[in-house]
Amino acid sequence: MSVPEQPGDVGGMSAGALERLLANVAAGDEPAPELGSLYALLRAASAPADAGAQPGESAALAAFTEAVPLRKMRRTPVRWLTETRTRLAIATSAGVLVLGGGVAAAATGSLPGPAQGTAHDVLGAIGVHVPDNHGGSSGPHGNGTSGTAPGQTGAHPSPRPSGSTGKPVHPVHPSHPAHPSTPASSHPNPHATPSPAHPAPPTPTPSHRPSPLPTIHPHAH
Amino acid sequence: MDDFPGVLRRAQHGDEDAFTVLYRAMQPVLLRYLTVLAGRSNAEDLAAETWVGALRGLVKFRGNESDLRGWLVTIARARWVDMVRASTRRPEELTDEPPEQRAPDDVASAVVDRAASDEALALIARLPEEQAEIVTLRVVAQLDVGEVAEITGKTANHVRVLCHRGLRRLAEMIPGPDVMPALVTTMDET
Repeated sequence: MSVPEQPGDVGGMSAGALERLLANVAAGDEPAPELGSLYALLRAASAPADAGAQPGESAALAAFTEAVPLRKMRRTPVRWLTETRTRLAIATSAGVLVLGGGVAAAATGSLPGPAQGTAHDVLGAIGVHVPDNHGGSSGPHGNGTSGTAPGQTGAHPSPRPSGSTGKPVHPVHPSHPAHPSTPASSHPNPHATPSPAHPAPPTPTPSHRPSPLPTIHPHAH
Repeated sequence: MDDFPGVLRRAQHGDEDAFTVLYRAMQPVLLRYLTVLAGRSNAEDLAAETWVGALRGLVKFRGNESDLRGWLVTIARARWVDMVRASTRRPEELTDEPPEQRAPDDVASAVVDRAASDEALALIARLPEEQAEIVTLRVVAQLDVGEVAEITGKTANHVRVLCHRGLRRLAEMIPGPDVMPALVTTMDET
């Protein structure tokens, strides 16, 4: 709907003057003298309310408590991602450590008897040669002993150096047939130590940056 | 309000103290706006209904302090419209009391002498309804022309014109030597 403009350019009551008056009221700036009374009226209408509780406050607060139950401040996406990456890195490191240690122990034939046999069967099925607990293994790369020669038993599928020797292990041969059982020692070598696993991969973003979330100050105003 | 984003965020997570800060900042605006529209006797009830409606959407609200004020006023206006419609359908149950009617000179004198907020609102409430609402939104709620236009469903130009008319009429209602009688009489707003 269109309303015709008023002829408001008389005596300082033009549209521009009134807009300036509104700005003055908002800012608390004194207006032109001829608008002093109107300014006073508008300032009174917009004056700050008395400090303290407002009408209906207790009822509104009760409704608020019911409608908006207290819950933890949500983490920001950056913080969530950082924490998730850290957890993933830790879990991966632990897994690599356990798996690598176990495989290394199997490769050196140092697992307890039944475990060594199981490792032999399981890893042999996927082409990883480990000695049996019935006297060691003599795979294509083995020497027929119980894995006492580091680096001679292809226990790790990784081309990385294995164990403390730093010598490369043999690559995996997926087509390696199951190894025949060999006489085994019922006691694993107590002096054999599992090859250290791969060092934990560096945490992607082990950031401990402070959260951008504001700190809760319950009584802040 | 200091740290409005922080206060809002805490309130959205159920912090009662933060909500109280918001309430004490916004409730006076709602009460004044609703007083001008519906009279003092209805203002508190309508404000309470406004907050009930606002609480349902508070968690998802995004915006600054002015946006929150505008949002609450929008809800308040809807509650007032509902009340008016209900009153129209059931005129025998009218409970709304018009703003206190006083002689204009008495009201204006009280405003000038005491500069009391409620007296000023009583004077604004004597304006035609559209003008009273828009003056209140612009002065009390401190919303700009665009926000008022959106809330009231009018064009920005129409909002300006109604606001200026209201202000001129208010000036006419205030006695005093610093308001030129010739100016008031030249305004053709009736």
